[in-house]
Amino acid sequence: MKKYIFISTIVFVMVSVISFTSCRKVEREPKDWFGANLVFDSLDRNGIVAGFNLNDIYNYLPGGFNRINNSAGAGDFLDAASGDAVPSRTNAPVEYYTNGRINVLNNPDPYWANSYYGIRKSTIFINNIGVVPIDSLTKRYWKAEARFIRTMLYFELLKRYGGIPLLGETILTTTDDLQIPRNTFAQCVDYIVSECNAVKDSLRKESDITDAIWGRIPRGAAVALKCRVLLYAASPLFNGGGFETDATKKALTGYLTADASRWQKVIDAADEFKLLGYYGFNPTSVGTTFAGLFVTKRNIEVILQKQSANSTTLENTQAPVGYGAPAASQGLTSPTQNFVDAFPTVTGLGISEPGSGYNAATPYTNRDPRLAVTVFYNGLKWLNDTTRTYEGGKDKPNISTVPVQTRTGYYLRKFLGNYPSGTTYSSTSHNYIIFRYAEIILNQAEALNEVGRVEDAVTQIKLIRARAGITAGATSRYGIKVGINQAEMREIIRNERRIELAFEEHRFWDIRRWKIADQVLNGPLNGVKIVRTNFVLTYTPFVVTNAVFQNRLYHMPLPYDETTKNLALIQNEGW
Amino acid sequence: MKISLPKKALTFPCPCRSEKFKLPWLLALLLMVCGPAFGQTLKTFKSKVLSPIKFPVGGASVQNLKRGASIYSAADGSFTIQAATGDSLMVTAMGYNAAYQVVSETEQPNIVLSVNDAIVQVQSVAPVQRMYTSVPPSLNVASTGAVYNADINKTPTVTFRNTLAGRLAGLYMFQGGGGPGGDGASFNLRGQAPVVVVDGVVANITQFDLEEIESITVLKDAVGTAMLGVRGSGGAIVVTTRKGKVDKQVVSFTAQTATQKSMGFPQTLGAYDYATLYNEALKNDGIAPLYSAADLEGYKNHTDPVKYPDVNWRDLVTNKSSSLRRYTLSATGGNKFARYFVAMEHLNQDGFFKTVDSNSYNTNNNYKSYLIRSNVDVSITPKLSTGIYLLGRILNGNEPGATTGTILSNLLNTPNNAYSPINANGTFGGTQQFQNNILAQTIGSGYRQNYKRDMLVNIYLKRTLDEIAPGLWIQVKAAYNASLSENVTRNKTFAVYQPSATTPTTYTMYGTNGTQANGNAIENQTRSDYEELSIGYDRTFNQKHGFNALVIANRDNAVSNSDLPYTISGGAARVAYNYKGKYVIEATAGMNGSNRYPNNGATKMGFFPAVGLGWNLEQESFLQKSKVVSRLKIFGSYGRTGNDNAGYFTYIQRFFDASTAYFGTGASGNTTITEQPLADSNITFEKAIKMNLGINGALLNNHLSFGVEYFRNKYYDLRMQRGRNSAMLGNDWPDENIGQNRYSGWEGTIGWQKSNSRFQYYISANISLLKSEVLFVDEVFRQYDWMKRTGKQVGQLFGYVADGLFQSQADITGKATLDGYTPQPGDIKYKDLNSDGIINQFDIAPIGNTKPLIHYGLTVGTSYRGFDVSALLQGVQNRFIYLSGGSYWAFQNGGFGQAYKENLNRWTPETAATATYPRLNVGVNNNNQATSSYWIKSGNYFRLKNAEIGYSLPASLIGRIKVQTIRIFINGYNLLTKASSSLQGRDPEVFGNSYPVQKLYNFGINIKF
Repeated sequence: MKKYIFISTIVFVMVSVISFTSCRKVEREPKDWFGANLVFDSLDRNGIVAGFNLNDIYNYLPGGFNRINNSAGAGDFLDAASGDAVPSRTNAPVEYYTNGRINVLNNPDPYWANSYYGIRKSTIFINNIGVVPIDSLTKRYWKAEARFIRTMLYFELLKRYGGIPLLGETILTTTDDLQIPRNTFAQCVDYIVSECNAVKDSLRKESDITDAIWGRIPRGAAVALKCRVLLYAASPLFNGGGFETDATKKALTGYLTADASRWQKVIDAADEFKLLGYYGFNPTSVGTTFAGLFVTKRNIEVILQKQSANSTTLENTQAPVGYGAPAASQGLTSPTQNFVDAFPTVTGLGISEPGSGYNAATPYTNRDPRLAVTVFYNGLKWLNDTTRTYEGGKDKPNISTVPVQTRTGYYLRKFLGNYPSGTTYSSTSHNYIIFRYAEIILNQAEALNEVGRVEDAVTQIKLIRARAGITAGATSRYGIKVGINQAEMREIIRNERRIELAFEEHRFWDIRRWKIADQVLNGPLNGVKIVRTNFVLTYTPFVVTNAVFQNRLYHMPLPYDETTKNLALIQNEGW
Repeated sequence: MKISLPKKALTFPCPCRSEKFKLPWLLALLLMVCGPAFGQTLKTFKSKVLSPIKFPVGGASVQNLKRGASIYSAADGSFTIQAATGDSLMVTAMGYNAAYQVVSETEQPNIVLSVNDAIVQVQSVAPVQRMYTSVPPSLNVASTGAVYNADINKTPTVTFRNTLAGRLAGLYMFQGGGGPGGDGASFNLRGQAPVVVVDGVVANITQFDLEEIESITVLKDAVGTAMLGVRGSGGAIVVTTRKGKVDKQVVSFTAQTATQKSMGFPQTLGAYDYATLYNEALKNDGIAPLYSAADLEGYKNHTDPVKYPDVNWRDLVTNKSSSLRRYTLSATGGNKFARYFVAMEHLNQDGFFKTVDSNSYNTNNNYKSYLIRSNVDVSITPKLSTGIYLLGRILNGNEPGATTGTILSNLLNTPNNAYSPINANGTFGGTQQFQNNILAQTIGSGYRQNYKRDMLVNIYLKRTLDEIAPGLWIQVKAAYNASLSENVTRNKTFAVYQPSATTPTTYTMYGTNGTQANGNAIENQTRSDYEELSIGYDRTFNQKHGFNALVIANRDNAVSNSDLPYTISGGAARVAYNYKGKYVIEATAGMNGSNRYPNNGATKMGFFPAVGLGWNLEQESFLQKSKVVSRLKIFGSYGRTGNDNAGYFTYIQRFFDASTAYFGTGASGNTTITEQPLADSNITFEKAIKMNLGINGALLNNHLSFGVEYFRNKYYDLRMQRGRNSAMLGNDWPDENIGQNRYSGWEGTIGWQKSNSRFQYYISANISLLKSEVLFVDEVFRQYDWMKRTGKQVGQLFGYVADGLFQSQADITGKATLDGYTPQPGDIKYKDLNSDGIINQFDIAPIGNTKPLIHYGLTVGTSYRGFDVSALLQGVQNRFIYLSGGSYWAFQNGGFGQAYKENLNRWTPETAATATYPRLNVGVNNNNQATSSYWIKSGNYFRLKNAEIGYSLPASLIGRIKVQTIRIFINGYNLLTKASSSLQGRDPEVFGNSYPVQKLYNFGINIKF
């Protein structure tokens, strides 16, 4: 019996030692960690931490520089898949869009997970900011900003895929039924428009945005987004023009039937935008303003940008390859001859039109001033030197130690700092512009033309051209002929949009919504071979690559993974 | 000593008829196994085991070869065993030759052992090390395997991990690199990662003096590891260090020096071949050639090495061989009051980088260790003993400033013609693309050092409580481990210069020539304390009922850097009963948990019980007289184990900093905070149900031994993300306890050994077969059966099934092709599994090996007079290698990458019939680089892992100089390898850009006095 008493005593001691040690006063969970209760804190009078949470939601605003396949260093511009350029590196994934290799598994720009991550984070903020005791005005601004970004992300999905599942104010959990079907295109457009309408008056007025908080969503952004989504909705591809044979699939990716009155909504949205005041074209001297627009953070032309720190990243990735450190650059984008040819001469007339003054022997003189701001061509000043893209020139040396160089004879100049005479780069503002005033003007011009108000459209285009530095001409019509008809004007508007908004991720989507990609992106993409003999340059166009386009590429394929995880998702037609 | 005859002859009745049998729950079992009574006159045999200098040898195993029963000698060397006249007793102890004693009627002398200096290890009957205890082999019902000091010492390596390859059934070792101080192979025990237990304390330390290891035992099944509780699922590697014995002092000194040579490395192409192939690849891509005829001529003739460089980068910066030196001094001895084993070791392992004298510091990879071990046991009183075991380590590393890993990957990223390492003006060469001159990275980028120091203390105090109950004892134990790792960087940047193509005397500079930037940082700081209280009871009643019980309470508290302590606390118990050593039943259980669970860091406790049964058949009457069967045991176990895989408070839904957001015209950065991956508040342990069945034995007077085991383990509640982790949730899914895998397999061992005083030899082989199956992964919708992951091997590779190369345009016509890709002749052809005319996600099926992994080892050894020879061969079957990426494909890395010898055998119209590589292209090719069976190569190999020849100088020669033994030896590591020729000389373990596995030739001398 004594044994048992002894053993029990020992066991008792053991148990008490163990339990005693665990009763010590110790930090049992990491107290430095923030949970939702500290992020949305009912005692946080200044909303400091909640503000940090909102800051992160801004990271989900879409960017566009070097974006496609940027996981392994600098990626390519999406516009390198629009026919305006080709990537200088061969076999770059951005070329899948023009060589037909996109499929459900292979899409370098799915934007699906990223969007839904941003949507969730916005909704968490919207649903929880209520408990934070900040002043009601700030709270109203903040909530509207998060709602705008969420709406923007839905639009990013919509333009890629057509209708997508709209989650509203729901924050999904792992126990929810995630077999969520897609909403129709019409429902999504209505939702985006209604959200824009709902938040626009709750956002800050442009005049209330101080320099210190520049980058916060202004009212204009909500109207601009509404204008853009309505423009897309009115465009041929979506406005009853879908290729789908199956009505369910067609309703997912566009309206079932065409309705010309949808253009009027674009005009109204643009008018509403103009009523906001504030925005306009820079009144300063012609020519420099367009270049300065992209390297100045605050600007009355800019509606919304994705903010970034100043850097030399774009110069180092895009400028011509013939410079050494610290101005060494990779020249990753090669704009095509097709794109260069789209620029009119300074008269506003296309290069093949009589009276344009275009001379094939000196192809870059007397051109639309935007050309020199958008592409590097042979002879353009840069870093106190001259761009030399003739065969064997320092920017196209054709030697093995420089394996990446331009494939077309051009480099991308747009967005880069103004260094024609500098000797090196300094950190430059590289905010990516999401909305700017010129787009609103172009949207309105397009809609006006489509509803038959051709001359009203001309008025809008003249604004763009005047700012660009095109000469007014004797008729003061900036190269637009008198008595132009709707079809001719449509071509002018589309071309103007191409060169004005180049490399700003418009062209890729524009040729889709206009349903012209199968024509303009199905054929040769050209470059120019410049041979210098005895200081005389001869220019010979050549085919760099042949683009192919299939109709199914009008809408992106839903990621295969997602369609196997959520069986309620209907895949777009053709994929 | 006079053997006293018992008054009355004992007869062993059938246990089920025994009146004193008080454990009715054993009845059923024993009913099945009880044999007929046997009438033998047994008496109690008493003797003492002594060392050559007549010191008592404690812990020696005494086995009645006739009857199988075995016991251990007490600390004073004495033992008592039941035996009949004429029985043969075998006495074995580590470090001594086995001694045989025939029981006779006459007076028995003490049994004096002779020292075993031969390094050839013959069958061990040493006790089986288990968690917190050791048991005689015949009473062990767990699945175990062990390696002893003599074998461990044969491998010239830094960690003891490498010594285990091929030696133990069920343990698969994979060596993923061979860098100085970083050559440790990874453990894979029945498909799992085991914990390492050093002297009874879980401590993941594998890098110490090999001579201080007494034995390494693997515990493979549930009954062996259930006591580890939530750390038991992976099995355990139990390391026991050497302790002092009651014996004369022996001082041992060993000096070894080895030459290391790198095993296979990808063979790169010379500049001419590279440029030629590059042009061909561009042509295939429809792009104009990059290299002109003049360029090719230049590469071919090597006329201008600056303009037309052709650099074998590997030869440029690495030496063919490097050295490893090791010096070990140890002393052991003791008396009945105190016993000690102390050792010191210094090891110096060089890497293979070349150095230059102009640097005042060493830029080569290097590893130096200084180890001190002190194991002291003290008997304070006859009943109270204590021990202090200490290990101190200083581990210093050195490497080039650019880091070894960077240089190694650059060796495979940089074509031979990329740039000239040194320009005409003596500067480092480079280009815009290659700004990291490999030579400059090796000798001109400064250096980095790593200092690790740690200390492990292990203390116990044990009191026997025979006064309360004979065989009862109590022990307290504590361990402390403090470790610090510090990085010192003294690196610098360098500029490279590219000569202008037109005027070679002008240079474009890339990078900057920096001065040495010095810094130090604590890389890692950990400490852990361990406390244990155990009570044991070990007694045999009436020479029949062996009873063994152990109850433990313990707590393991680890702190890593600034993390909150990770504490595993709880207890464990073991109860074992045997009837006359014939029938064995054992139950073990662990009940513990860790403080990483809801709510508020609570300790979630789990209960992990296991039971094992064993039956020693040789003691049954029908086998007792057998001349063939010496030992025969059937055993098995079943139980549940746990694995604590909670992570760091992952059940808490946390918000944390995200990327900086910018606002304001000044573009100032702003703090962000965001929801982290979703938390799983239902988190629990991972668990396994394990079954093990085995039979082992020895035949022909113990000369032939064998063992076969089968296991079937089901792992469940594995933490993993759901398969249906739709991104629409808007965040990363948590790991949830949903996964289920099954591992099962067979293991077999067989050995033959024979010895006499002058000559001994042995040969033994082991083979293991490991099969795995995914039982549950929350499978997403899969259109076709071949796409399903469930039911396939764990980690099964999936891809397209290659069907050779397209040989001509006609061959392509009508064939299914990759969605959106227009193939050309020379591209890989894939099987259209669903016959829809297109190769897409529906044609993805299991590729590579789908059969169970088989690994095996074979050891042979012999000794004759002073000579001893041994060898270990090790191999693996049903393994594959997926060769891909920049270390195998040509022109990767965005088109700037290297190309290799095997790329020469690419498809061209001329070589269509013999090509083993598709047509060339630059950079990415969606068709040819898709995951497919085309790139699967056999990973089977067979290595002469280790071989040793030793010679011990005869006593007649050394006796005069008062030296006990002098032994000189030569051994080697990774001496010969037979691998698939499709690897083109690559090593089957390191085939990419990791530090190559080393082949070592080692020479050493050991002196004992």
